[in-house]
Amino acid sequence: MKDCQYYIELISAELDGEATQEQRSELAAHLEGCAYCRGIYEMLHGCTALLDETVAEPPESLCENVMGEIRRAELRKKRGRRSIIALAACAAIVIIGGVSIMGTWRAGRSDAAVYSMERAVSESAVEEVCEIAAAPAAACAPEPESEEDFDAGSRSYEYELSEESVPQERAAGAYMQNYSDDLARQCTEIYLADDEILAYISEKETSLPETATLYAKMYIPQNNEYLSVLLYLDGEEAYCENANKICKIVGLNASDIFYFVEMHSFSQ
Amino acid sequence: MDRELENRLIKRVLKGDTEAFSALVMEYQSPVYNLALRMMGNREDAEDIAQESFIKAYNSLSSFKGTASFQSWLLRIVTNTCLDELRKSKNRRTVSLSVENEDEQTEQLDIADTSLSPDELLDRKLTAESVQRGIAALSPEFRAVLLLREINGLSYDEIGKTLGLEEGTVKSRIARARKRLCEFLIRDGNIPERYSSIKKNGGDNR
Repeated sequence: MKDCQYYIELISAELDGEATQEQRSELAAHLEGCAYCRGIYEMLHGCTALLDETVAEPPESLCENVMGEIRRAELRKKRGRRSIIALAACAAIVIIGGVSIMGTWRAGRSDAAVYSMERAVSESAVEEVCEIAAAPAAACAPEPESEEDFDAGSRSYEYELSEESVPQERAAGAYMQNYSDDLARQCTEIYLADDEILAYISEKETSLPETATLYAKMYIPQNNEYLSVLLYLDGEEAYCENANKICKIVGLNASDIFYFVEMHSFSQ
Repeated sequence: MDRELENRLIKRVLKGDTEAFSALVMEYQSPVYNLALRMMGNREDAEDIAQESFIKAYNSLSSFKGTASFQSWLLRIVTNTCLDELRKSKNRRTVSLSVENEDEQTEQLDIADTSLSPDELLDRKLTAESVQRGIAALSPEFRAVLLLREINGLSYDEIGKTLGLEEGTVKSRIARARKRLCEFLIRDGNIPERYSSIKKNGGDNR
């Protein structure tokens, strides 16, 4: 005859869904005749219910602190190879105007932008995560951008959103509705920080994505804050050359856009 | 977060995209923090452990091979960090964590359901504190298996892999840890009467 310790393990395993059918029958048979184990059975079930009730929220600053530490460490590493950084591409794409005048886009890149991004990255804070679903829409017209243009230094570029390529209001709306109204009104610039963004492969973007995940880094002048942009289409990394394209992709998305917004604090 | 996206994010981080890691932190901060909180018994240590664990994970991400889930890989780091810290602090002082941090715990145990009456909320809060004291009274090794199961919902197999234990050991440790916790709660008067009948009729069977 097995001792009660054996059955206590079975009770516990049963509770965790780890007991086999055979073990469960064995346990049931034992419980019939053992008041002690019946008591334990009740007790362990009650105890597990109690544990379930005590889930704590992590502190809001946790992610921010972790990322701050990591960025500082990375920055220290990077400082060791500053000459490489100087060569690395860093695009700053600026949307001029708020929601009402989202039609004009300007992309710029300069040493100042490189500096800004370093500062932004070093002092960033994750503020907000939100999920949205956007409606599917029409095909996305490729917008070729020569690397030469991007490498031309501190000039800025202006694009007009073409009406037939993307319904502008909708694209802008789909993009902006992921923020609070107040924030949306404040979003007047987008900076793309990652050098790999420049390497966005233009052949990728012609087909409609089923899903898109966007990591946005936006500049909010009133608060002097940055948000960054990274994009995953159908689970594959895609890099947007410019904000125009981001808008299109967001506007075009099928069912399942998961929006992850990081807000980066930045001060002059 | 689905596994595929998770793997993409990990690849991005490994390619040097630091920011992609924050999505992983956001995704797993709750299980990581809750495990650390129950292991350490107070919020301050839990936050330190959680932070340290994420940074360790970031730094050793290249050693994550994807055979176990990312979560269990991460939780192993958390558990080991906690066990290290507990061993260290055991050498420093012998005061029980549960007593030492009693005041702090009263704020940290958030009870999500606010539809309860103030009395019920208070009851729950007292129970939650008692559960926390009971967990703190377990040895760290017993605490770890129980928490990975109860708080993080890992299977025995995953717990075994996470802690480097045989599945049978996991099973018996969880059962013992659970029983000890229950006995603590009964002594503490925090298990409903009907469960505590065990005290009277079970003594000699153990």
